Amino acid sequence: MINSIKADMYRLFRSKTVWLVICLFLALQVRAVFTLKPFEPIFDTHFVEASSPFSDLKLISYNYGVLIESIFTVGTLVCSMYSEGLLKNSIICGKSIKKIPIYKTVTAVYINTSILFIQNLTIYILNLLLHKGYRSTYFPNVLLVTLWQAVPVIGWTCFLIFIAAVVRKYSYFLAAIFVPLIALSSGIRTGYYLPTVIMGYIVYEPYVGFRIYVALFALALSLISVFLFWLHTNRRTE
Amino acid sequence: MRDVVLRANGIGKNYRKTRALNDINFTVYRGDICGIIGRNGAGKTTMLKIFSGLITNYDGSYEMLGVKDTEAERVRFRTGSMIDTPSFFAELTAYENLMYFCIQKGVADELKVDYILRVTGLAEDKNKKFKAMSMGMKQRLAIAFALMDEPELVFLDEPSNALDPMGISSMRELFRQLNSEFETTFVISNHILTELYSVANRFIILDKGKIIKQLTKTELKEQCKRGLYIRCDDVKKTTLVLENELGLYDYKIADENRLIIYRFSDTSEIVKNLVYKNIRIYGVQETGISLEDYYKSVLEEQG
Repeated sequence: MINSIKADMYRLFRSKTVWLVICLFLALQVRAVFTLKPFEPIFDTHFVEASSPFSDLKLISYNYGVLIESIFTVGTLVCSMYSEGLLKNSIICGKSIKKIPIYKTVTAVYINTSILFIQNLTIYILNLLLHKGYRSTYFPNVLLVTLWQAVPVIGWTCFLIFIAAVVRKYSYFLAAIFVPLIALSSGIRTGYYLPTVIMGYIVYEPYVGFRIYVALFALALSLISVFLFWLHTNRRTE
Repeated sequence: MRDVVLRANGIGKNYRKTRALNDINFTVYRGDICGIIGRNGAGKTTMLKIFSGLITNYDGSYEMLGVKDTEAERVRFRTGSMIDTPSFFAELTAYENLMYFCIQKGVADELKVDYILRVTGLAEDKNKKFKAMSMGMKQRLAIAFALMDEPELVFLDEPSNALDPMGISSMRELFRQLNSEFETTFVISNHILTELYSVANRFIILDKGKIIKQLTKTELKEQCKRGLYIRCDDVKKTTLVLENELGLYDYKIADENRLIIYRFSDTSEIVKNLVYKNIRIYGVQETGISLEDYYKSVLEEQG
């Protein structure tokens, strides 16, 4: 399994799109830290009250970038496997058709949670450097928030993998995800867009309001998605 | 006793109502180069797909590298395959594509990738993206993929497709070299029968999903019954030398200057003896029916 994950990471980080999206969202995070000022909200007021003071923890809590990035990482990982007929090469190399969906899921989840961690770490370090710890939290808090954020990221990633396996073509997959996203743009603003809401629920005031049931929903979504992905891959191979 | 690397036991495969393969039984030994011959739809690719693990729903069973088909995944990393059209990541280069699969196999060795790219003639194009490659280059890359990591058993489906004459020749040499140096076993299907004849030492003829003939190269040569045309100044004297000195009685006199010898083993020995007896030789030519002719005759026999 390690070899499959290593190989997929090798392939993923040779994709210009993935690098572009990661850099873009990292740049947005950096920009947010630079513009961080006390008592001045820079984010969606639906989640952040205008009077609440900003800290790096708040900024980290509302880090949704990875949800968009994961669309590209999953698309690159899964769609190429189908549309370019590469599944057969992996089978020839001795990979079990029953295990390939698991390898892909683990890789995508690992990559996306790693990106989330790196982004949060960047915000924390930059804030520490720029504001000399004035509005900095303790590092364990960053880890705790990241851990909670990882739950919807995993759920969203698994859901995306299933959609990618069904749609197969990269362009169709992007359309399948982004068209509803654009159509629901008013929903995004009001916080009705599913992954954003899930993440918002989980990380909002992370010390007090842990919404366990939302986390469980995200995990259930991931399990169902992985099972459907596995079923779909096995059924379509021959 | 020779090591068995592949043994098929009654393999069959149905595609809906079509019987693509029926009761396939054969054995391939270590170091063999086994040529699969058959017309379109004979079941060659289906058979290779079964051995490569691309088809899992079939009748019968097979043993590969000492394990049963149910456990073949364990040994598949010791095999290499090139089936159907070459498929690789369009955005990655030849080098990156091979490296990806090397990592997947657990042998991320840059030297190995460089070596296989060099021997398959892709060293100069290793940084070319797959989508920018010509059909010939893609085919070479697919062969490189099958041969990377020194496999013990290689399945090649139409390896000379899209290759130029130089490419066909260099690939033939590569297969021979790997076979002699590392005892790599090959199972090759090819429509170019002359090409297959020059590289394989065993042949399996498939038709309508059944094996209709299995024979070694020696047996095939015997079946093709070679003839040696000799043009000389004295046919009578030549026949005397053939009978008395070489013990060859199976010949036919074509005219006063030409005769055909059948069932002979060494052309040079015949020529040497004739020249020693002061017979002027104007021309020597080995002839016989080709593999293609033999294949046609076998198919005709089957009706």
